[in-house]
Amino acid sequence: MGIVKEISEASSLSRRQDLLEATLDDEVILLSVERGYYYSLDDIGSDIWRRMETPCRACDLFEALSRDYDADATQIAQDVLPLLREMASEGLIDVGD
Amino acid sequence: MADHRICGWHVRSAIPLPEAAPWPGGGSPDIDIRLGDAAGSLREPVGGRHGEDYVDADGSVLFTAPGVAHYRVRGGREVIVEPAAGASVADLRTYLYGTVLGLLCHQRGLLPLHAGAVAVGDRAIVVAGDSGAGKSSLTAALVRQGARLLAEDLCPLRSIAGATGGAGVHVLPSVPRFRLKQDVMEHLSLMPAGVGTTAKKIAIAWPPDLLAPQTRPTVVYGIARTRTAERARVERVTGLAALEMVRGAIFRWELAHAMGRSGAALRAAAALVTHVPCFYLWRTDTLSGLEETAAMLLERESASC
Repeated sequence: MGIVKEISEASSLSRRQDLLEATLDDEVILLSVERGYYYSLDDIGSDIWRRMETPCRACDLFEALSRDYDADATQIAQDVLPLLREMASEGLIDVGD
Repeated sequence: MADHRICGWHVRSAIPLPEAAPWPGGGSPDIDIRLGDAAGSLREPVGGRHGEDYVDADGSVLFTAPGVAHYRVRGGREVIVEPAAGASVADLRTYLYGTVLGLLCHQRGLLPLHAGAVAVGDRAIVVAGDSGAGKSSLTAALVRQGARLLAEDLCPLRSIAGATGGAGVHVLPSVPRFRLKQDVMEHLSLMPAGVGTTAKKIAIAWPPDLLAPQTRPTVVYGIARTRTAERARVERVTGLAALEMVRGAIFRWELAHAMGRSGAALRAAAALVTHVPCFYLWRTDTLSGLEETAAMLLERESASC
């Protein structure tokens, strides 16, 4: 998908608008009609996707996840950043400053 | 002008629709089909051009059936037909019962599938597939073995708002007719009551009072031209594969996407496959195998009750 901007705590994250979304067996399914690809998000990915219904800052996302999963925010960031990078790389989300 | 009942809608049409049931009463129509200038008042097609088709900014569609007519389908309520010189009424109807009906479904929030459907008691069997895959023949064979016709080519599904689980989707009764190749028609002993012609198939009217009422779907079979075998068999399909099987059968998917309706259609397809078991169906390529296949599907339905 090309070069993706590095994600930092201050990065703004937003869903790409050219995807269709559905729920299948409680998981979020995304379809890129132009590319003809489906993406299936697991529980965590589905949760993160739903939290990005409106654009948010990465730090706010980590904080909310930390609170709701009762986990250390630094650990959350370490765990979630690879997923966010992959979502950005696949063209599911946009990353801004 | 005459008033008809199609998919439960009150349809008023300036084009004769002899196959359709009459509308049992008065009131204002849900859908108005009239003759006129189909392209008139078409604004700049911001939705884009798709082959010969245009999607207007308000989601209305102007499409052209070459040699037959221009059709404008607007707001799920209005159809304007501009016939080409020499077009037959039968050909005008073919596109009304096909693409126009499909676009109306999208605009009215229904999910139109390329599928045949029959009712067995209060359960519906849906057979989805592209043109030429054999769904019309199989649907006719199912009807000849006692199932009630719901749809033969365009199968409208409606989600019931607020309903949960499998109770939330219904197959609506569609157009009471079959379009079959001559050899299939003869093999199934279906006598034509009315004839309209396309290049390869003959249209046969089916008594509208024999249509089943709206029925809950309990199984979806996906057939394809390449999915053939010596003996008919089925294979369960789940998850994304099932979703793609149904999505691939959505009527005029590209136009639905240009109209901004593909998201709703995809969610309806996901709801369907979540609650209704889906199977690939390998069909036989022979006329004699057609009835065996229909019998197998009916037997499976009885066994699952």
